[in-house]
Amino acid sequence: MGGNLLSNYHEVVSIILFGIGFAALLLSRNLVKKFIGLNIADTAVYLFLASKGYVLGRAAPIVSVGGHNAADYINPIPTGLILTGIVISVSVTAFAFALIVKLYNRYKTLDLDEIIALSLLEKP
Amino acid sequence: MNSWFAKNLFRVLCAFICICIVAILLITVSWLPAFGDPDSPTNNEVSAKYLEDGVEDTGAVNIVAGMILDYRAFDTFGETCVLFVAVCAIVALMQDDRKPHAMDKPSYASERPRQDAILRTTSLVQIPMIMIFGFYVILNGHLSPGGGFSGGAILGSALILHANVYGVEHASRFLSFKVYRRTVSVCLIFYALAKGYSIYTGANHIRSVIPLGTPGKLLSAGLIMPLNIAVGLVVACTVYIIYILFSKGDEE
Amino acid sequence: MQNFPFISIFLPILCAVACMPLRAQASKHITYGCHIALTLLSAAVLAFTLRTGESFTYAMGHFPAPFGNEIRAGALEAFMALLFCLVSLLSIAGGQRDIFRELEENRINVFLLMMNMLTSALLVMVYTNDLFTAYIFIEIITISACYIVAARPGGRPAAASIVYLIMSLVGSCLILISIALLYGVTGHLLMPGLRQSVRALAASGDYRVPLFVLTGLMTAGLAIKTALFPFHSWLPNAHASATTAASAVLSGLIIKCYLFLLIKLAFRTYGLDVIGELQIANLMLVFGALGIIYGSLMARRQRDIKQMLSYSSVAQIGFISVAIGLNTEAGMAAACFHIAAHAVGKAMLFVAASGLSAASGNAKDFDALRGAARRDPLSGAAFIIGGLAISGIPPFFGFFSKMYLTFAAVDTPIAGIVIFLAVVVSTVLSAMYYFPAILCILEKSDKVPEDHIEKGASSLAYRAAVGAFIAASLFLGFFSRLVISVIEKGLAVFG
Repeated sequence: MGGNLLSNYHEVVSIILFGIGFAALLLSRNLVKKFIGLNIADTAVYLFLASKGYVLGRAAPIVSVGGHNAADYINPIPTGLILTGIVISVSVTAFAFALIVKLYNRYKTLDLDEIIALSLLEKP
Repeated sequence: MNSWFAKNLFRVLCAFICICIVAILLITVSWLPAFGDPDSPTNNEVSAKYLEDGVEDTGAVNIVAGMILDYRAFDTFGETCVLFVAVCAIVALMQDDRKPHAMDKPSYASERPRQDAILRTTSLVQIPMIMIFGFYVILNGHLSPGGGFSGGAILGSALILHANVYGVEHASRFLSFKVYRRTVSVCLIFYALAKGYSIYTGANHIRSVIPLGTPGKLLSAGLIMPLNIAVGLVVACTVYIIYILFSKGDEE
Repeated sequence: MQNFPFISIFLPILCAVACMPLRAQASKHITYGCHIALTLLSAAVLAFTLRTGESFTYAMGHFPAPFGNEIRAGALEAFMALLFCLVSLLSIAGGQRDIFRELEENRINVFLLMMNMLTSALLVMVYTNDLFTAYIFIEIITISACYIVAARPGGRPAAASIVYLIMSLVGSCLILISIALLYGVTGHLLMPGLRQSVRALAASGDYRVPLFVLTGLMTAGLAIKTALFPFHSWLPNAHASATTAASAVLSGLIIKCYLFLLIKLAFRTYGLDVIGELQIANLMLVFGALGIIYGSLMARRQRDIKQMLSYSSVAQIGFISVAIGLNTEAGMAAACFHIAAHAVGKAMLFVAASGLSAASGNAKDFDALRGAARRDPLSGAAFIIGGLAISGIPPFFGFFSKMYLTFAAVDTPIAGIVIFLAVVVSTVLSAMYYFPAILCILEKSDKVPEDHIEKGASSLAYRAAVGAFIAASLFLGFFSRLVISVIEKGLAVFG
């Protein structure tokens, strides 16, 4: 057990959130809850990335036009990764919900096990 | 007890795996570099170069915008493609072909214009302000926090509010569903061509003709502002299209 | 010439955007034109890289790595790109009849749009030198692949698609957190920088636990997406419920590109010795072997031809994982050869199966398919060649990929025995389900009423596609020495 568990409490919280979201994704029966779990898990990973970029006592990376020293600003890379990740998360969730609406209109249920059982009764 | 266990074996296994993953990750976190440590491996020459040379190389004062739209522009292009693919898939899955113009007409009671006096009066003030703020965030992406994605989301929310208060038919007299789809395609093609030009000139060591301007002014940073506008429009139209399609999908 | 990989990535995306407002026929012409152009471009890049004998990097922007994005092309990447473009083109051509018959008229252009996007994303996965770009295009592949499964009308494709989406996103979540950990520990996203950092960390022993955990998570995420046993449960329904072109591309290309990314990580980021220290390769060996056995046993039990082919894909992915798990250069070369061979073979099998079922009244179960090879000789020949090849009968490509894997296994003592057994078992088990299928379609059957006998999919596109598939399979079989030498040359400069 390394020594940084307490000082890294941001990462610890994000891992716990990731676990909650991941568990919801795998264990929920309801399709909507599964994708809410996915969103929680993804947001937790972004929180993790954001905490990787922070440096104590430094400012946001909007540099002043005069001299700029790298030692005055936080790391901008994780922020860029998070921006990209959020958009991907939104797109995937929207697509998933479109599929869920289509499935609900056909089978009138949101329970994944029931949907799979009903779909296997159809001809291939 | 035994049969419950057998029936739910898969779920028990998944729960066990989740707990294991969380435990393993917590142990991993304890071995990671300390939070906020300036000597951690992430603060290396890459981030130092972005911060120190970012203004000269890209012309943008907002280093994050400079990074995602110039240094790592291919990633942002991929992300815009993800948006495009998602929108195409959602439209294909949810659009009802039997009623081709249904996108522009209200289909059930809650899509008719609301007669709510409070909503109508406040939105007269709110919608223009939200739109102006959205445009401001998009245009100033390279000068202050913001950029195409956040500004596009703000703009999209203004469009959704307008459609909610005044009804879909009124909203579509100004901008119909077709216009939104065409905007998405045109903006993506513009982004592809602009980024293609930038990548081609960069990889072949040709000087790009786009001027960088003086940092701090609105018209600066080369291609970053046009790309922000393209991305902002794509995101706004995407958000609005998704809202309209999902609210339409409720008809019986 | 060096711009060709970059053009190969942007051209399908522009064609995809062009497909959106157009109707089905125009989209079809654009898709064919795009894929033919891509095949020619990839062939040119392959010729160039073989002639110069080294790989070149191409900065995607004005800044070199590690500050900007970049792609890298060598002989192996060009070979894989050529393979992916060619199989994509032939799958769409062979599945064209089913696209126009099964999908709604107004959705065909969206389907072809997704196929174009998939080709572009597959090419990015082949050429990329950056881990985060790979993640973004993995998400493009996820959405497009789930759409092409759900494009077919009906409840079963939609249900299969949502299960595929959920499992895919579980894999993506694991990959994303692994990339976040890797960035946190090394500070690099581009592979040259990652290589330096990871090898320094492995040598010094710093961050040993995070490195081990993140490699495990990355492998687990990629294994879920590639349907390695025990994460295979989504594959049979998804691949069997999709239309022919979609099944061929899904089984032949998409599940392979993640294994190719794994090979790329093993060579370019870690180096094979570091992977050996981390013991992850042994897990892949074990699960691959289990996958071969499970996939083959389940394939034996299927009554539906597409389900049988999908379970066969599970078994073949197990085989490729066994080759990767060997963790030597010769093993990786055998894995790449089998990726190529299975891509061509499985796509050909799916297209031939569609032809056979068209000659049997569009039914897919084996009872209806009796004697189908006599009704449609071209499809029958393709199916027989594909079945024999994947089972490992000489002189087809399956035999050679098993031979190369056995040669690669000779040097390693314990793993060698596992591999030899796996090869023998996989040959026997594949024969156990392909041979009855082949015999079934060859049977003389007078019981089929006259109106079931269609002339088969006799369009020019279908016949050209099946002919080209047969030619490609025979090429891979007879010229396997040439192909494996190209792969080995590519692997030598891959790291």
